[in-house]
Amino acid sequence: MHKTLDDINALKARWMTGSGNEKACPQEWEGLDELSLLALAGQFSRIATRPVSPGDLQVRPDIPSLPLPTMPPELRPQFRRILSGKLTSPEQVVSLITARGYCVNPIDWMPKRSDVDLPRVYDSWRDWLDGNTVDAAHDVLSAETWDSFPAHSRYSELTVMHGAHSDAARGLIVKVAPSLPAEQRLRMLECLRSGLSEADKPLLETFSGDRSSKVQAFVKLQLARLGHNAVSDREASAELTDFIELQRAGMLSRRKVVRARKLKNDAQRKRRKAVLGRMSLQGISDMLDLDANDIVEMWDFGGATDEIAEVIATSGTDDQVDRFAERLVEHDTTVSQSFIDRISPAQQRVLGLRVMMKDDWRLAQTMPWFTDPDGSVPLPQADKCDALTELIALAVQTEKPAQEQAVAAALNFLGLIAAREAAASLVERLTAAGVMTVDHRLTLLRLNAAL
Amino acid sequence: MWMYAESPTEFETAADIPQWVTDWLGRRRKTPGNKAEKPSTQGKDLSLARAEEPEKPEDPKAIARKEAAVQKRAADTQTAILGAIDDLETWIEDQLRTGVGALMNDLPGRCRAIAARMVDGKAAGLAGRLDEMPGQILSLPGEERLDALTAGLSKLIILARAYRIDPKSPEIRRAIATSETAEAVLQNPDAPRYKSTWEVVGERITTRRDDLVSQSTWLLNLGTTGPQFALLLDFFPVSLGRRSGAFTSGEQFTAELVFYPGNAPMRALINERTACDTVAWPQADTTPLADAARFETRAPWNDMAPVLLPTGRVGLSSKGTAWWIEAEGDLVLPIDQIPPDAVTGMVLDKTAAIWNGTRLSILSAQTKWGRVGLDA
Repeated sequence: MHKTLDDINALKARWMTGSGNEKACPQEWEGLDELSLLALAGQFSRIATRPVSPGDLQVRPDIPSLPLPTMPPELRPQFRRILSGKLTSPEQVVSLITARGYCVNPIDWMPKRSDVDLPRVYDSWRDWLDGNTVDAAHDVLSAETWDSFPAHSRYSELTVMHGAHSDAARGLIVKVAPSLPAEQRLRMLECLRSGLSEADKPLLETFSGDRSSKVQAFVKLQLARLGHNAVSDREASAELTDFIELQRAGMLSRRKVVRARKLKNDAQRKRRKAVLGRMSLQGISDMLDLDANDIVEMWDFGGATDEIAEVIATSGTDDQVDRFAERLVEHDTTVSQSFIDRISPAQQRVLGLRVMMKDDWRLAQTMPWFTDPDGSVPLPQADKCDALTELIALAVQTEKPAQEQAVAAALNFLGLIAAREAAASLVERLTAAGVMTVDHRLTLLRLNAAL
Repeated sequence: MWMYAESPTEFETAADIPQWVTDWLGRRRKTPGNKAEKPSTQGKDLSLARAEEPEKPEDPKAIARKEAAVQKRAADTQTAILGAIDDLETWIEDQLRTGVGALMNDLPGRCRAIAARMVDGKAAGLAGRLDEMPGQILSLPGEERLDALTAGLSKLIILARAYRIDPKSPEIRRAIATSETAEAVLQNPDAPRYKSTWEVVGERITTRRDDLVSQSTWLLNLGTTGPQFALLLDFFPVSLGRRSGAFTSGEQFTAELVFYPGNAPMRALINERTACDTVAWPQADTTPLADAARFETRAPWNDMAPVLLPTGRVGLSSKGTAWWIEAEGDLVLPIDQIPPDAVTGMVLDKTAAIWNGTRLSILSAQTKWGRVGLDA
């Protein structure tokens, strides 16, 4: 056969240039015309030859199985449809599915190397994408195995270790972190965030003078969460009396309030912002001879609320932040996203629901409150919530394509935050109002209800 | 009029019509509606309408004229196709004589020119192949193009020679000129019919140079009777945009398929279709390429063969190309697409694919994670 193939190659070489050895052809084919030779040569090559594989073929190991069951196959088409719709980030849908106790099928979705806000359960897939998998020999995280442990899994493991054996986790950080680059140092310290306790304070303090400003800021925030406020700037403290005052209020002047003094111009307001930016919550309370909690409770929402919210966000404890957020909602005051980000996820959901229930608020104002949607919010009955009533009315109207996108985004948002029963009930209301069951805008809500 | 409508009893009919009314009515222009007296409905009988009209006896001369015209048209088409085939063979001979290297340098232009002559010669099938050839060949790496061109031209010669031998073969005629209508195939008693359970294993949608979109839906036979694969082929103009498919990839159904007659039946039409319970894929071929070769031997003008591959997985070369690697054997085949990351980390228990002689195009595969679809 090799001889035949050689002859055919000689034929092809002749046809390539149109001239050459006229005799070159397999012996059995001699006497045939050119077209017959072409037909035979082409067919012979197709049947008798096969592409030669390169010697350097790399086969990846199997994708690691995850500790959660894969989502039911009948729901996979809906999940794929949601991803192709591009209205919702894949991370958020994946988080919802994970919160309901399932993992996605790797055929439908795999994490990207750039994804950051993913449930930890997918770390092993991210490591697999990087070409690393957990080796049985390295399955115990320690200072010795840190470098050989897959990059994403090691931080998940450290977080778990911090929850179960916090001393061991702190010991590991002390040993390993100083020799790591700033980004990895920060990521290591971030593992302390969940389950932060007073026992972590000494460790955090050793990093308070870190050469990385990001690490410093993180440490400062964690210490503030523990109630160890940073010291305020002395000059700023002295100047603060020009801007903040303790007053008595109410009919009988029995109630004490902390309020911002009335200012005359923008220059003064700018200065107040700068001064408050250099203060901590403890610094302000010391200056007014009050407890830090008093500032949170006595703040009068007349002015400089954004600035004081920023002070509380950067130097208040978790309880102080949550309480101030509650008061903000009570006073119908809008607040910056950076402050909302600091509120604990549980409190975000409680307050977000309250915001949704307000008579004259729209759903768009509710959305920022749910930074970590997990499909657990028991939505109010649609007829008892103006925002939902309005949304249902808009969803039925098809003659206004301009608002189509906004309605779809709002329905997707609800699909992410709603508890299973709430999602099912909302789908029922929407379809009863005239939205078609197969409407693509309901896909996420329907997936939520089915999970 | 309103008053009359509400209380007609208050109005009296005049005994005598005044003269001026008669005069006025006489001066009014007669409208067409007034001219014709309304036909009386008296004496109508529905049975007259129901009665079958006796068929007019056909004029034998007219029938003879019609048949003669049909025969003349068929003879003209036959002559035109033979002429086109002559042109094609001459053209290929010219390319071989002057060197296919030169042809390769101007492949789209020269193929378009000869394809246009095939269209004039009523050989639309050949024209389609010639039109698609440059795109298929030029998408390959440089070192593979000569072999692919040789193989493509050889298929054209085989087809042309087959037509000369058996111009009445519907299979060859389909490949050379045009295919039968779906109705003709469904009514053809010689068309093979197989009732079985089928799974939609993949879909390929391509836009052709003649502004038609070709939608190929591949079915895998999950039963024991009939061909292992079937191809449902549909064409529609580009201007209609993408059509939503009648099938979902992975869908299973029981159906009687009517195959276009031929030595290696592959293209089919669905005659009856019903829902079915989920059925597992059949055992994969242990010698998939040998099966593909046998398929090609029965119809050597075909340039692709569907295959069901045994257990294997996808490997990547340092050049970034993907290869299917048999798990328990030495078969390694190049893949024409780069599969998603996830697929490279899975054992493909069974794989349905199309083998075109040089590349494998994976349609779908069964894995422990479920079904993987790679529709293009």
